[in-house]
Amino acid sequence: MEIKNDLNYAVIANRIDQKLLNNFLDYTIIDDKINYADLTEMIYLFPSKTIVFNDCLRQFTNKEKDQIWQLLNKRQVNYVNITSNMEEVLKSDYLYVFYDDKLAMEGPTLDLLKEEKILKRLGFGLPFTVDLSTQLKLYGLLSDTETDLEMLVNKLWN
Amino acid sequence: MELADLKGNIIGVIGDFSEAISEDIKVADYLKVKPEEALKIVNLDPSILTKSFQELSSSEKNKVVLAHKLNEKVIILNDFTKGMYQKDCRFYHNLFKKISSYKRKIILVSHDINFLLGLVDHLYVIKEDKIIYETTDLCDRALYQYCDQPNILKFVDLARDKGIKIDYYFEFNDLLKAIYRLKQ
Repeated sequence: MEIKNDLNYAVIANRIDQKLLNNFLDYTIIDDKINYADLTEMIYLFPSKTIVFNDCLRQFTNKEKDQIWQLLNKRQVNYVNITSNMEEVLKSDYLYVFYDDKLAMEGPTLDLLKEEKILKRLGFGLPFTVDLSTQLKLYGLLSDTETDLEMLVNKLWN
Repeated sequence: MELADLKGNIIGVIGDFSEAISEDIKVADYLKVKPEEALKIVNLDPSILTKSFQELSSSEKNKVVLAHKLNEKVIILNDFTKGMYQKDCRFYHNLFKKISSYKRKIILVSHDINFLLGLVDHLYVIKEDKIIYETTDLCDRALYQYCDQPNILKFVDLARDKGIKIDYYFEFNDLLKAIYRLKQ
């Protein structure tokens, strides 16, 4: 699994365990014992290029997460976000999908999210806005897949 | 404040709670009462009995804790959906409702309000050991000054702000059908 310095990654898996984490032993892995203040301080002082989140962002509000994404961007720290929250996937450039410890799919995030049937067959969902717009496309009510909820509502009821 | 004293049958708590379990303990040693049956109820394979906690995924750990607590009158679970993938969510919704029907109180301490939607009958926001908000209505907009509003509810609020008459739905397919009807 290749991790480039100029991309942000999301990893989803049906089992988030030590075997999965072993793929990232070269990096600093942050788990959910960290609080918001410590995490932002750590990013600010982080000397390395890539940081790995082990399903730890789920404890923060969307507002806090936005501030974390902004800080990462500002400090030019890239990340690998191992997550069970599909909504967080949307912030990444590239997505890895693991199933039973094996890499099942990979690709640019928005391209991979178009593989709705495969993702759902593997037991993963889609982010809410992507899922809703994908279904509305099937009904002929939308022409594009949306990632922004307000945009989706605007397109439906302009 | 004791979580066990909170009102309700299936209760959601937005707040912090921790419960330390030794990573070295074997599942077989942790589950003392009818372990195989308990694991079956929570949808885990009995082969997991030979493993220690550190060998389990985060989701499996939570399921083992649930199996351990099945006989308790008040079942408190912390961050139960951590590491859980979407396929499992409906199964555990149904399981919690079933457990609750056997006069057990279930308290889910979680930041995952999407999972609590359509499941809990009471929701509390707790900060520094004090209840700062409580409601029985997860569509209550005031609740979302304390936590993120689920997208399925946010969608309805955005549509209503545009003058669209649409109800709140907790199920994705129900919302989809309602949009279809409105657009027809």
